[in-house]
Amino acid sequence: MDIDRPSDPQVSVVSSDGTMFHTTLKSILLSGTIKDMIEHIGEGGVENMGAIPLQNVDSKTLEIVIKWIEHHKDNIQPTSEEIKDKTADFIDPWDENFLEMDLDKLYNLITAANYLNIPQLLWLSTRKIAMLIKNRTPQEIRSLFNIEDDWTPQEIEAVQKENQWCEEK
Amino acid sequence: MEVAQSHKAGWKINQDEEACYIEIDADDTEDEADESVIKSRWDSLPDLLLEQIFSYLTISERYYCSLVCSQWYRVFYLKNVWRNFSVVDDTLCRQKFNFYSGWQPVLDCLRAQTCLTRIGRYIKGISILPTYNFNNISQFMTLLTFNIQQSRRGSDPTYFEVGQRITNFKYLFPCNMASDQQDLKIYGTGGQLLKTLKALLFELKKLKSLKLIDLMLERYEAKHLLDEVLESCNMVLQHLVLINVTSTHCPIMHVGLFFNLKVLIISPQNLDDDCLQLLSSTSLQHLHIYQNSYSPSSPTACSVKAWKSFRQENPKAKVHLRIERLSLAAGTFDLTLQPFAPVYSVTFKSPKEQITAEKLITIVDMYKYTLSTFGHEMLPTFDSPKAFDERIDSLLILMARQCPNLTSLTIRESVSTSTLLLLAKTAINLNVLNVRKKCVIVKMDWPRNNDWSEEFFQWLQISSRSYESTEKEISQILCCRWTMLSDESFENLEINLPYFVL
Repeated sequence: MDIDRPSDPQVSVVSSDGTMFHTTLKSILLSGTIKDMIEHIGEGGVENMGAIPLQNVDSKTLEIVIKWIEHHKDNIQPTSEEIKDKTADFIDPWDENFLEMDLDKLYNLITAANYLNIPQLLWLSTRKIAMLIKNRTPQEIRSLFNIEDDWTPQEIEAVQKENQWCEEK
Repeated sequence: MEVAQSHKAGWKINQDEEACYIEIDADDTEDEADESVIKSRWDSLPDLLLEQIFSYLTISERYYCSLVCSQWYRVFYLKNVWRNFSVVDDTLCRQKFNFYSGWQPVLDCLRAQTCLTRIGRYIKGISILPTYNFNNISQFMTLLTFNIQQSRRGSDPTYFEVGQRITNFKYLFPCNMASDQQDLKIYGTGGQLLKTLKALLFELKKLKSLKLIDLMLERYEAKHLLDEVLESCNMVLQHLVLINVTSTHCPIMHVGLFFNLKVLIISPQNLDDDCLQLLSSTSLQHLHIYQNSYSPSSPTACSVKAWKSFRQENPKAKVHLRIERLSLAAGTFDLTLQPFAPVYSVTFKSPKEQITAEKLITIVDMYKYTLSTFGHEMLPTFDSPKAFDERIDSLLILMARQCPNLTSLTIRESVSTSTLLLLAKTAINLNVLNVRKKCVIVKMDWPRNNDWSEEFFQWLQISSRSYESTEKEISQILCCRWTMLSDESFENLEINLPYFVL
């Protein structure tokens, strides 16, 4: 990562808790949200642009996001439309390893990827959650994610009846 | 799984994607502090994100999620959860005992009807992917056809908008289902199944994308395959994939009659001069000519004359040639070169395909003004030669020199570091260069060329001395961090082709 071409200038971003991070333009442009911001000021102004404030991302999460975008800055990124119809399930081993984190971090990563509009990262992290949900009963899912059971017995019975057609027999 | 609710514990994900319950020790105070704040944020994840997560799950997994809490129940009925619907052998089936073959999945019509009533209006894409049970698939298609007809009539609210949003349809036929290694016997669809398929296609009036793969029809059936689609969707269809409609030469004229077609992926045996002529007056942008293991071994190409007029009539259209042959079975099988077509990419996905001088020179000769992508996917099963004279280095340099638009090159055979450096320098528009580190020979094995300055020669000599220096110099030339690929990465590599999705 020591070779940065002159046309890939440094950019700074500031997390919600005030920590500043430095990365490169090429990496940060993976974020659709920041890309839109930068397009507004015009690329010529990037050098003189101050640090970009990111109100919705804390420093721990931002650090993780930056690690990912720097690794993937040279890859062709799919658009959010392409992701919706994505059928291939291949995951880069680097990404697989990258996603080894606890659920809290994963939650923050998902919301950050959503806010920053990084379709591929959002796909990876939401898919990871889907993999955790697989082969679990509702009670196991509740326990895993610490979700409160807010159904009354009558309600749950009604839902069970309504959606029974889904169940494999 | 029993879970004790305790402040001193939490869930973690281990390497096998399993969540495991761990006791948090004193040294983990940081996590502990976070926990009380973060507790149960998961039930309030924005709909959009939960919708996305649900969409990766199977139907029964979605059902379990709908039982988790009221917020998740609501998400169950959001339209993007059901956007893509795959039908496989046992989708919406029940098990029925058969005296001869034991327990068999049989389509549960009541379940299937409930499914379509509840969520049928959200479906945008249907993929039908049977592996052996054609009866269930046929019944499902009939039921769907019936539902769409009813919903169009509009008198019964049960069928409200069912299937009205379907824009993508894919049907993949397992034509190799009875194959074994020695004797590859290929079966086709056709008969009743084809009738059912065509009836369904007739009801789909908004198709933007249609994929029919490996149908292997008889000629008389193939000629009429797209009759209904043409009638329903001749103005709306944009993306058409027709792979191996037949196993013999049988041009499908219909492909040239879709007014707004942008992308066509077709096998060479289903294309001829007349098809090309029709296609040249459409707004087609990408024509992928695709061969796989089930395609005939040497289909005829279109004529030079036809390609010439195609280029003139539709100068924006780009042609892509691709061959995929995953099995190791023996037999001659070659890429059909379309003479002087506007070919932008030539790609191979086969463990056996080796670059030969004859093939490469023909490709360069015919496509030098257009070719932008060339490469081989997968790890080869052969050993590439080590000696310079037997290697492909000089052929690659020839290609780089002759094809000014070359932007992407994927090499899996042995080359030297000096060749890579020369390639990066010679192909001025190159921005993707994939090579296997394992097959890169650290060597300066090019004789001094009279056109090279002393300075250039020195640079080449010094830079080709190690992987690191080669990578550093090529990074600089390509203006991005460039590294050679491990075999693991190379194995999973897919060359980026425009609108090529099967």
